[in-house]
Amino acid sequence: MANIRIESVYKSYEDNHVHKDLNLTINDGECFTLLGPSGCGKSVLLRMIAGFEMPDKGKIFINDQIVADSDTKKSVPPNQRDLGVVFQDYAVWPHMSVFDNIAYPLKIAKQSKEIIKEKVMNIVHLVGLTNLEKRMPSQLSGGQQQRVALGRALIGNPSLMLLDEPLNNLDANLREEMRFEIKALQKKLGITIFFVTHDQEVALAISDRIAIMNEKGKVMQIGTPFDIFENPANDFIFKFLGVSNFLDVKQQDGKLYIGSQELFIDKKPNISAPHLVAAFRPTDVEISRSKGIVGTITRSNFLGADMDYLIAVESKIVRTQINTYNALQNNLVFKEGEKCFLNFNSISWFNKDTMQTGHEGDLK
Amino acid sequence: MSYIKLVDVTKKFGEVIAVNNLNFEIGEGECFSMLGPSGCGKTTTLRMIAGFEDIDDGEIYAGDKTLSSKKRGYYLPPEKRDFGMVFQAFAVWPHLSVYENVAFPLKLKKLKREEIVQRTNDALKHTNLLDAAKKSPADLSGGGKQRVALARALAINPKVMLLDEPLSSLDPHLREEMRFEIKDLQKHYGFAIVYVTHDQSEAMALSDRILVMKLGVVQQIDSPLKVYNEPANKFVFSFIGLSNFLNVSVSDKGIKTKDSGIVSYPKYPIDDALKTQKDIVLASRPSEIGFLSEGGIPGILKRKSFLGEIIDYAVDVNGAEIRIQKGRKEPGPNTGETCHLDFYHPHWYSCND
Amino acid sequence: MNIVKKPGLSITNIILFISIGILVIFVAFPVLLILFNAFFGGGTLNVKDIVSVVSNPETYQALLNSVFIASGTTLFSTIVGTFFAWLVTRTDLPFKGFMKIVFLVPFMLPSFIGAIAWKMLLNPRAGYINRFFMDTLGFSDPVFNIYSYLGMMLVETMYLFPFVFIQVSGALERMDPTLEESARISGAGLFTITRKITIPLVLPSVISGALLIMLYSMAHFGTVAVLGMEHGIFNIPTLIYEKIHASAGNFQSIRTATVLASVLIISAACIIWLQRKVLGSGKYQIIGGKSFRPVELKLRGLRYPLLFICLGYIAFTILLPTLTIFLVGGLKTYGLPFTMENLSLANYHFVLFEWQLTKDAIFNSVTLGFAAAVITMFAGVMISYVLVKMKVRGKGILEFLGVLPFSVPGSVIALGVILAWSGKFGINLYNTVWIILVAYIARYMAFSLQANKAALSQVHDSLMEAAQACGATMGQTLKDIVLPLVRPGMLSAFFLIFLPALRELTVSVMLYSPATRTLGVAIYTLNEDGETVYSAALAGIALIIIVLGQLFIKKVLGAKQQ
Repeated sequence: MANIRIESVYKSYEDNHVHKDLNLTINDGECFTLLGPSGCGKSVLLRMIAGFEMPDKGKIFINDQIVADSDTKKSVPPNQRDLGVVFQDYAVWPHMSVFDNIAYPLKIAKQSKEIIKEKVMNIVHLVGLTNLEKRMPSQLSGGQQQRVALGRALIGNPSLMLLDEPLNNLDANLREEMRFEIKALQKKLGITIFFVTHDQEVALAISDRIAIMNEKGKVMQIGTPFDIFENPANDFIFKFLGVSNFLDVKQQDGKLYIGSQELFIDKKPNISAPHLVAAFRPTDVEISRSKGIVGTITRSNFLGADMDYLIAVESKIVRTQINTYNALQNNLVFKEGEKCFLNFNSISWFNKDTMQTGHEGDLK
Repeated sequence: MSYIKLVDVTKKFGEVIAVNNLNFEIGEGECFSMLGPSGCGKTTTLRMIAGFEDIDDGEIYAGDKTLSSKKRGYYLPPEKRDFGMVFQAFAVWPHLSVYENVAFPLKLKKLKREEIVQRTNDALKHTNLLDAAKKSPADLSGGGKQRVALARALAINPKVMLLDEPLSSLDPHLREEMRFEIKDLQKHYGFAIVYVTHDQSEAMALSDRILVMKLGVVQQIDSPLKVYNEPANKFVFSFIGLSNFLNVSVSDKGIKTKDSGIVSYPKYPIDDALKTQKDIVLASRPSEIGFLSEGGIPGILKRKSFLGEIIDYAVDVNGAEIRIQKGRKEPGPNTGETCHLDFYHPHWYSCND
Repeated sequence: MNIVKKPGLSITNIILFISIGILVIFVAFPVLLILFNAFFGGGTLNVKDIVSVVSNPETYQALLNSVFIASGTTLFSTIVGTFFAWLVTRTDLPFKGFMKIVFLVPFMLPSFIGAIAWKMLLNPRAGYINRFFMDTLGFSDPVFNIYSYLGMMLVETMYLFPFVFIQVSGALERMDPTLEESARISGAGLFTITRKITIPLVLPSVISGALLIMLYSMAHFGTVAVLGMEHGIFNIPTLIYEKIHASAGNFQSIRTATVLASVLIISAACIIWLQRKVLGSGKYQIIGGKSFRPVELKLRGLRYPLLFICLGYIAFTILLPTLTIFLVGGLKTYGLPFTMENLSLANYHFVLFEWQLTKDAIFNSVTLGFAAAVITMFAGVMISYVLVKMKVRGKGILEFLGVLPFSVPGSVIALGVILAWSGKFGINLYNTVWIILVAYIARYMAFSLQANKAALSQVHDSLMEAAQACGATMGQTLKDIVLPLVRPGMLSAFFLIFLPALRELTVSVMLYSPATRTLGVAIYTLNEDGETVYSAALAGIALIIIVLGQLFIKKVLGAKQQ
């Protein structure tokens, strides 16, 4: 059982203010992900929670007990915080076998040999390393090494696990596999996870809640994956979460226009401003040969499972994706230069005048 | 019109047969990809075309010129083959400037000074490197270095460009961008491309035709769409994208699993040859499976993951995991529920494959 | 959970102070004393004095000689080293693997022993080769006079070319073959590729190896002492030796020595700086990519002639001098022909078991080498740990001090410890074995720092943090994680110091007293005193010890790596 509370934490390196007045609460038993671009200070926060760094100002509580307090200059050292930590570069000790790596926390805790053996073998099975316990780390693949690190972090029965971009060094297939496994382990063991990543796909897949940080270390939105994906607080978040299209939309006399074409949609925009921007994902566009906003295919790109089209709409380029099977069945395979019609399933609306990110997708 | 032609080409390394009896032709201006897992012989084939490896049997031609012929004991060294080539690790020369790198092959051709300058600048222009001409390649990013390698390869205006995993040292975002740059260069210069990759989506996006290879043996040569939609065998199917395989028993009326009723599939009939076997493999893509309210093949939903635009489902069907991907707005079952699967584009393979 | 106060002035600071202290006392202080004596000898900065010292014909000539001999040696070594490196990496020469190992053998042979051997062979009057040509073949003049500039350059080349060989063969081996293949597909033939691509790409490695040789040769004592001194050819280190020994304590001699040493310090610093620059910014990123065999030049008809040249070189430069040492060591009297009745093991028995002087020398070298190796190894680990792992203020000073040992030649260190530890500052170690130990620690600190820094930088911070997160204290982390991981580095530091120290001459020759001869000093002085056969027998024993030691390391370190 563990929760984390970050209270008005400040941290800077020389002149670089990484964190300013940061407040966060991570609830007991949840998988909480801190998602942000590289250099936003997310790893620094993880290191402060772990005790490898000390906040310049502010307090950190783990399980309602204070572990770092800048007022009293007090800090509980990392070895007494009762955490499991998994690092991006695995940090598996190369001079110890898989067994010895995983057993180390128990040896430090001076447990008896029999107990160590039993517990380690349990963990070895749990993380899928059965029969590999005698190997040295150099004889393991990257994925297996990360399993060792995971096992080592789990063996002390920590109530809190900190994971710092643990999947970064793995190849795409393994990354997909491991993220499902971490999620399954967390559910099974009921531990609290604090996960740091810049990969939105991983974050969406494993988190109960996500906090999104911008480059300056400011938390911009906290919510469930579905929540932030469907209702992003601003265009930065929208853009960060996947391939994004932005189209300028004029609002006039209760009607919506993209360039000179009128846009018909079921759900009216939830904000009213003269200059709107419609944001949508590639799969939110339905292309057809009959009606909708007119566009011209500028690039047709077959990717296997999907057809990827770039479509010129007024003066902008829109990127869409349609399932290959669907395209073949419904005569939606377009050639470059062909005319097509667009309708939109789902749109997030932003006020053009208060957008944070630059305009993209202009026709070159 | 075919330009490169391989006839019965075989290559051995010691006892190991790296490439076995290879036959194919590549047309002028065609983009031809060789796709396969590492160690399948695709790079060796490219290096035989380039001339870095001799052949143990067969012939290789370019136009009316013989490049290698075992029968006649003939072998033209790489420097005389007039190909452009780009390597995975960029291989730009760090002691020469960007301009000197690109001008190097032209200088070897002993062209006139003005022509060297003009053709180098032309190649730099089309690879967006004019501003970097005086820089050292060490100061460029990975993408920049690979552009220098491309410019250097196309400076002599070759009829064929050999590309050996040219994008796999780049980060994913850049990889996609460079794909289109290569395509655009091909459109402008009109060279044929022989492209080696292990990344199926790269091969799909770039190629006119794809050759899929396994252990030195050709599995299929077809257009990308055909390779995707009508894979020649189970290996090609599994290599070309995320795959599901399900063992089913087959009878005249249709197919069934242990827990299902008999389901018939009029749209994608089973080969007569396969029908004689009792058990066969149903292969299917995650995006080509739907949920029915009843009937179909039953299973239990083990995991439902929200991945943004799509939702990823893992369904347990008699111990086999079936992955299904649906748009996030499409309805689907919840974890733990029983669901009914509709395979709307199945492929059938023998259990013995 | 306990609340623990964040450590303020703690163990980290203490370690930093000790580290700085060691480098200051052992290295910086003696070097500063030399510079101070050279520039402020009379109490104030006196440029005229320095100019007069330098322009003294004797000093001036020594400076010129150092530069001249070093330049020649560098030139020859670079040609020889690059040629053999290319031959064993890029051609189809037979027995390449064997050759690659044999070309490194001169590295472990002490060059002054080589010089003694060549003196026996090519002394214009008494050398065996010269006598063979004159007596047997009837030549009127000796074929070669080893007591010459060319003689010294060639002898040094034989022992120093591996510096270039290692650098260049390493670069050629690791070079991404597609760099050459892409030139080939561009239309270039093998000759053009070698000229336009391969050579320019390995040039930084060639230069860096050449600079190391330059540095080593300028400060090299042994060869010039054996072959030059009695014929009036001095370089900087031998003149320093002459000044200190011939006129110990004389103010003007010490003054001259410190000025000469300052010249060495400054040129060494320049060379080190230049070498780092070449290695740092100039070394091209030429490693990587899928590995295919590099283009191998087919030597065809030249294959066997070149093999013959290589084997001949090995026989002439490695086997012949070694054999000469062992044979002369077995002679009753120097100058007798090598016939069975003239040869016996009597000399070996005498120097090993009977003669106190040589027995002491062997004992001194082994104990000094061992003590220096152990002390320097531990000091090196600690200093490296601060340099690589700790984040403390004041590390900058340590980083500066840490570079110092690399650029201080042996004769400079010897002179420095004489100035520092002869009682002027309260402690007098002169004429004791301790002064040699102190000098060895300063001399070999660079090796220890290099090996330990390399080992420690392999230990990523996250490995230590992972241990802490597992509940380990800092002490447990050091014991369980850091120490086991740097142990191979420490071990190699130990041998990197112990073996060279066994055969050391440059430092100990300036510091020895009759009771504190080292193995190197004993061989050298016996040879100078005309006890040639005993000198050779002792040298033979030294060679055996060195080779056995080398084989032992190979075994120990080889086993460790598995």
